[in-house]
Amino acid sequence: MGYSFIRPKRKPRIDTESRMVMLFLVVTLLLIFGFTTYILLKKRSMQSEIVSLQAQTRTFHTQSEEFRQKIARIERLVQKYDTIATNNTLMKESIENLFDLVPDQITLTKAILDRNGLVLYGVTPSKDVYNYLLLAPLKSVFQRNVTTFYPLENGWWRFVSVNEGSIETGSEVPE
Amino acid sequence: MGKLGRYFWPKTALLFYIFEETIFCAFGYVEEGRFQLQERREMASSKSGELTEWLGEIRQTYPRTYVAAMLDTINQGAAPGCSKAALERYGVDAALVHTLCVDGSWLAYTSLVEMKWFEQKFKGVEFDLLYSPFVLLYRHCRPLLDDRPALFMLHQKGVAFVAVFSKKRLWYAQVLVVNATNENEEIEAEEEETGELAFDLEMIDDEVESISDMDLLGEFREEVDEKGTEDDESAFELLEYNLNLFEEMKGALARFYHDDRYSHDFVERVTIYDMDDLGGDLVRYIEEELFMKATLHTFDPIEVMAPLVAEDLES
Repeated sequence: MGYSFIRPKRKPRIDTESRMVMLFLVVTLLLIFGFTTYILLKKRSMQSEIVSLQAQTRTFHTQSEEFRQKIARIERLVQKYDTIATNNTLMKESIENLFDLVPDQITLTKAILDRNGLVLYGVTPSKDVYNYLLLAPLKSVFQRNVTTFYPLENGWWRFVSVNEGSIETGSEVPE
Repeated sequence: MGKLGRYFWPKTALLFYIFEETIFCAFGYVEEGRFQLQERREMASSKSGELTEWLGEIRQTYPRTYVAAMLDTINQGAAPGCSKAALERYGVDAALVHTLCVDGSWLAYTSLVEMKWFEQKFKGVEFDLLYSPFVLLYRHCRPLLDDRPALFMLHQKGVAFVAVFSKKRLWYAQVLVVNATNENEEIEAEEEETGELAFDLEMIDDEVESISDMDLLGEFREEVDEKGTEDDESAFELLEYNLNLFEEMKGALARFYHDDRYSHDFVERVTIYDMDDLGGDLVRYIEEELFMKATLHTFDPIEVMAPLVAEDLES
């Protein structure tokens, strides 16, 4: 309930100078807060970038390790291939040499060449022919030679020659 | 919190009223529904710039300073009832006045033109609160009101605001303009005398001596009695003024009793609030001639306005 003819007018809470000072302070605070927020956001962004880059680096390291392992395996395979190829060549030469060793008097019925050695089955006119013409070169190749003779009706001898020793085959090369 | 509020956002008010040629001002804080007076000043009303300057100084420190004043214009009044139709009943054009319904029972009004004139008289002062003397009178006499109507008068030099209040209503109100001397009679007498004189006064200017020159008692007695004469003259003027005020008051009472537009009842008590220095004669006249109980009190508008300002600003 008013007792005055007129109503009081609205008054400013603060004077002009204080208003300017407060405006200045508010603007300054806004700038500070704005800059701080920008710095924080930038820092957070950079932190996430660092995390991302670290993950990428780890991935690259892993990939690099994998590639290195692949390269090593490939190198080993290449080396193995070369070894196999060499062994095969040697084997081929050995087989050729082996068959060159066999004299015309002796007939081979079966030959087993494995990692343990060479097993020859055949027929010889006599033990001496075998001992002088075939066993001698076999001894130079294999370390141990065991020959078993079985007489035939016509006077010839069936023989089984088991030769164990240093001959190597390409299939024996480990990876 | 209150002290903090006062320090940072103080609500202050500058109150003033004009009496004769002087502006009486007061400045203080408005807090907790009270006006706490800090400083009072008096300045010549011809130097209203001084008031504006002081207000400017105050507002530099306290931007929330409200300005309140007592409206001392002649063309204002009060009427029973709160509707504008009541004003028409008492011969007041509602379109030309600004009104205020007080406590839902009576209407204070003032001339719009005079209110604007009052506001424009103090250039640079933005008024926030303007109080009618009737409102101040009502607020001041409210504790004295009872069911019986009583006459209350707020006297300013040359003007008296008269109202008949009871506890629940306003019965009657009028603004009395009191002349210091009966000027009309003097003018009429002078005109009559001038009319009777059939010669030119300028022609006899040199021939006629002044009364003081013809005084047989000489200059010595004039000097001795000069002070005494001045006192006598002022006492005589006060007597004459009191008689005029008494007559005006009697006339107002007669209008209250005889005007059918007002409700009637006997008024047995008169309370006079005086802003000037009336003396006890008026009370004596009222008691001896009207057989009414009369009392005289001093009235400080600042003291009455202060709680009103606090109340109006807090609401």
